[in-house]
Amino acid sequence: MASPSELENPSPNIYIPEEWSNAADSIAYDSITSPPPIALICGAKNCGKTTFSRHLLNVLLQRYRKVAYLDTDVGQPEFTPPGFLSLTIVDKVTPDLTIPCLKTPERCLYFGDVSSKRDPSVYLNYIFAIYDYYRKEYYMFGEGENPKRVELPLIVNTPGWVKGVGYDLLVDILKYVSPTHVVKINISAANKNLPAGAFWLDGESDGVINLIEINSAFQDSFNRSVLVQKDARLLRDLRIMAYFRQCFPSDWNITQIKELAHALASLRPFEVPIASIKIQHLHCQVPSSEIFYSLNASIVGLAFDSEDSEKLPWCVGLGLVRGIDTFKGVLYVITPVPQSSLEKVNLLMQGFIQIPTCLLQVQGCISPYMSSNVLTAS
Amino acid sequence: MEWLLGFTEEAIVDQQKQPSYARKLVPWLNWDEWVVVKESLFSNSPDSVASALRRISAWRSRGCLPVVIEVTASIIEIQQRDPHYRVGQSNDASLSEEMLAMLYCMAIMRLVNGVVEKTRKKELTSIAVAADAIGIPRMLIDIRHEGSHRELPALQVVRNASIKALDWLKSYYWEPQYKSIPFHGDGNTKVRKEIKSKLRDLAFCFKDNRSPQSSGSLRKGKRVKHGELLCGRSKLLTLIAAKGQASRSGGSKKQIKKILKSLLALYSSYSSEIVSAVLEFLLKALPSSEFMDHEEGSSAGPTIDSVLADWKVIIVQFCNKEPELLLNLLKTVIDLIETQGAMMSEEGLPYFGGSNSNKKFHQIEDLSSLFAWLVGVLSTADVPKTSLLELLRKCLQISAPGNKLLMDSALHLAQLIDDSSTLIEKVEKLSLLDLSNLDGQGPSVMTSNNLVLEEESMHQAAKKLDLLKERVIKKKTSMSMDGGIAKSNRWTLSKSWNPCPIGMLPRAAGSSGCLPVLDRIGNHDKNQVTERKEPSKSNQHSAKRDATLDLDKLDNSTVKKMKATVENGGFKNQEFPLEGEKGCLMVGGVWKKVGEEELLDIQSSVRILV
Repeated sequence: MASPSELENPSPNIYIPEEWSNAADSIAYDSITSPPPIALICGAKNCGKTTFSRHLLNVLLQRYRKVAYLDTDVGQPEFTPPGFLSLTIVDKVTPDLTIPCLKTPERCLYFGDVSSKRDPSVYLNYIFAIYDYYRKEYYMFGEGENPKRVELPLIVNTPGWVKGVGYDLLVDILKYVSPTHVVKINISAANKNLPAGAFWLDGESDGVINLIEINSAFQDSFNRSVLVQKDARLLRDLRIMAYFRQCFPSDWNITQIKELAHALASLRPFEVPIASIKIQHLHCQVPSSEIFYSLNASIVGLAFDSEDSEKLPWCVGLGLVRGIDTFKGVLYVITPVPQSSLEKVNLLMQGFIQIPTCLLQVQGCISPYMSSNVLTAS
Repeated sequence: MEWLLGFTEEAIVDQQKQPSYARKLVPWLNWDEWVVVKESLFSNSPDSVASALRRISAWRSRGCLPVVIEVTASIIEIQQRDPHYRVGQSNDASLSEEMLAMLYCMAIMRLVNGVVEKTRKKELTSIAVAADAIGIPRMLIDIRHEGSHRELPALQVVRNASIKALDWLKSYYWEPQYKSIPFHGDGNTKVRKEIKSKLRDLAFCFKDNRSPQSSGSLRKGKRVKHGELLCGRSKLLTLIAAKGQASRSGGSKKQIKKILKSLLALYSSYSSEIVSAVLEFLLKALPSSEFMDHEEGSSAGPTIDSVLADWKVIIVQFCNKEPELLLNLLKTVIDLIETQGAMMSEEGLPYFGGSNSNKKFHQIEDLSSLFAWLVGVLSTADVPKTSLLELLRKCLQISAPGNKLLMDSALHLAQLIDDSSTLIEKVEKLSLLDLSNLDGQGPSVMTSNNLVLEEESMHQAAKKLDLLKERVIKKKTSMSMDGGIAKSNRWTLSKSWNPCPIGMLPRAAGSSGCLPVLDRIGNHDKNQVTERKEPSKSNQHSAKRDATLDLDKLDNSTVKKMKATVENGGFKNQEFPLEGEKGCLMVGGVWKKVGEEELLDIQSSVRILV
C-alpha cells in the first residue's frame, strides 16, 4: 500500500490516497502565508469530509503554528459535543486520525439540535457570527493593528446534507465565507454529489477560487465509492458521554459506560439559584408554569446573555440539569466547565440534544424518566 | 482540555442487550403525572384541558414525546379553537372555517402517517393496508389522501373525523397504556397492599429459615394473627390468602432476596408507604406496656428484643441496601411521640406520674421503647453517621422529663455519632440533670429550683442569641464589602451530595433519591425567572434583603420566639441535616459557623425551659 503522505502514518486504518494528500499539500503550500488559506470542505454524507479535514489540519500545522477550525456540522462536530457551532484554535498535530478528540473551542454557540433544518436562519446567523469573529481576530488585520498578532489559516467543515435546504445553506455559507480553497469530495453515485464546478457562484466572481475536486478514498472493484456507514445516534451518544467524562480526573478508572453513569449520579453538582438564571428553550414554546417539567434531567447549553439583544449568547459548554429543588430554589447542574468560566453563565439554553439513555438506567440508579411498562407500537 | 473518546461502541451495544433495556425514555416523571394528564385531557373542564395541554407542551420540549400523545393534544387543542365546541363563549378571535379545516386535516394526516410509519414493517405494504392492520378508521385514511392530493375536505367532515380519531387514540393508546401501568387507580391502596403482603412474606421466610422444623399449624396460627391485624373485617378471606402465601414462601434465601429486591424497587417511589407499613407491623408485634407491670417490664415476659428478632434481621438487610429506611422509621416514631405528647399536654394530663393507666402514656412508652430498639438496630446497620445528628436533636427536643427510654436512646445516638466527642458528655449531663430533677422533686414539676434553672438557661440562650447576631452583622458587612463580586457566587459546588438518579433529588441517606416537585412555587418566583431584566443585580438585592430581614427577626425576637423558630422552622426540613435549615439561623452560611456543639447548647438551653 503506497502511502505518499508526508506524515508517517500512525493510523494504519486510515488510508489517505495520493489525490488527497496532493490536495492538502496544495492548500498548505501553494499560497503565500498572508493572507492564509481558508479552506472549505464539502460533499455528501459519509464521503470522508471529516477525515480529509483532519488530514488537512495536520498538514497545515506543519507550516503554521496554529490553525483555526470552523465547525458547521451540528450533528457530528469535530471538537465539541453535538449541537454546537464552534471555532477552535488547534496547535497540536493529532497523529491518530481515527479517534476524534474533544477540545475547548475558542468561541462557540449552542444551536441545540443535530440538524440545521430545525432553524436554518439562526443556524446561518450563528455561523456568520463565528466567522466574523475569526476575521476580526485571526485574519486581515488593518493598518496600525498590533503586529504581534498572527494570521491563521482556517478549515471549514460542513455537514453532509447537500440536498434541498441543506444545499441552499451550503451555498449561503460558501458565499459568506468566500474561501480561497473549496475541496469537494465526490462519490461514485453522481446524483448524490454536489453540482460540478463552482456551483455557489452566480456568474460574477471576485478573487481567485481554487476548486479542488477529489474522490472519496475507497472504491471497490467497480470503482464505486465505499462509504463508511456510521450510526449517527450512537456516535452522538459517545460524544456526549466523552464530554461529561471530563467532569472526572483523567486518571480515574472510568472505562465502562455504567461506571460513568454511576460516577455522574454520585458527583457533587454545581448549585445555582433559579432566580439568578434565565432559562430558555431554543426550539419550543414552554409555558412558564411548566419550565421545570421541561428542564429537569435535560442537557443545556451554558451561555451568557447580555442585556444587549444584538449580542449573541456565547456558550462555554454543556451542562446537565441533574435535579431541581423548587423549595430551596436551586438547580443542580453537572458540567465539566471549570467554575471560573461558569461565573458569567446566566442563561441555560435547552434544545433537543438528549442525554444518552445508557447514562440514565444503570443498575441501582435508574432515572424516573426511564420508565417500564411503556406501550410501544406493536 | 483534551480527551480521547474512551468508550467503545461495543460497550453500548452490550448494555443495550441487558434486560433493563426494556425501559424507555419518557418525558413524564412518573405514571401519576401521565394519569393526571390523561384524566384532564379528556375532562369536560376547559381549565383542566388547558393545564393538560400545557404539560404536554413541556413534554414535547423534552424531545421524546410519543406521536400518539402529540396528535391527541393537537386535535384537542384545535377543538378548543373550534366555535362548534365552545358554546356560549365569544367567537371573536375564532378562525375561519377553512383555517379550521386545514388544522384538523393536518392533525389527521400527522396521526395517520405518524402512527403508521411506526408500525409499517416494510415500505411494500400500502398505507391503507398498514392502517387497517391497527384499526385506524378508514375515514381518516381517506382524509389523509384527499387532504394531501386533492381538495381540502369540508370542515364538517374533518370535525367528525377528529372525534373518530380521538376515540381511536383512546382505544389504541390511552386506555391500554392506562391498564398496563402497575398499581394504577384507587390512590395508593394497591401499593400498600402489595407492600404489606411482601413484608409478610418476608417475615415468614425468615421465620422458616430460623426454625425449619416449625410445624405448619404454628405458622398458620401466627399467620391468622397477622391477618386479623391487617383487615379484621374479612377474616376468612385473609385466612385463605394467608394459606396461599405461607405455602408459596419456601423460605429459601433466594426467595428472601427476591422479595427484598422488589421491595427495594418500590422504595424509590413509595418510601413513606413502606415506612408506615413496617412501622405498623412493628407496633403490632410489640408487647404493649399497658398489660405489663411497668417496673418489671424488661425482666419478666417477652422482651422487645426477642419479639422483634425477626424484624431486626429484615430491617438490617433492607438497610444495607437502603439505609434511609431506618432513619425514616426513627423519624416517624419520634414524630409520633411528639404528637402524642402534645395531645397529652393539651388534655392537661401530667406528662409523668399520675395515673399510669393512661392510654396515651402507654402509647408513648411503647413508642419510646420501639425507638430505643430501633436505635439498637441502628448500631448494627451501616447508616451514615452524619444524618443521625438531627435525630439526636429531635430526640432531646421532645423527650419529656423522666422519659428515661428516650434519654437513653439519645445517649446511644450520641455514642453512635462519635465515640470520642464531647457530645456524649453533654447528652449525659443533660440526662442526669433531667433525671435528678425528677428524682429530687418527684412528680411536681414547678419548683423554685426549676425556676432558677430556667432563668439561667434563659440567660444562656440570650447570650447565644447575641453571639449569633454579632456574627450575622459581621457576615453582612463582609458581604457588602464583596459588593460587585457577589454575583460570582452564582455557581457553587454543592456542599454535600448523596448519589441519586439523574432527575431526582438526593435523600438524607441511601441512593434511591426522591422525586422532585417541579411546580412553580408562588408568583414571586415566577417573576424572578421570566421577567427578570437584570439577573446579577436582582440576585444581589435579594441576597441582601434576606440578610436584613433575618437580622430584624433576630433583633425583635425574645428567647421564646427563638424557641419557636428552632422548633417550627429549624427541624421540619429533614432532607439535609445541616444545610437545610430554613429558620432564621441560616443566614448566608452563618449556620455552619455557629457549629454543631453551640447549636446543641442552644437547644439544650431551650429544652430545659420546657
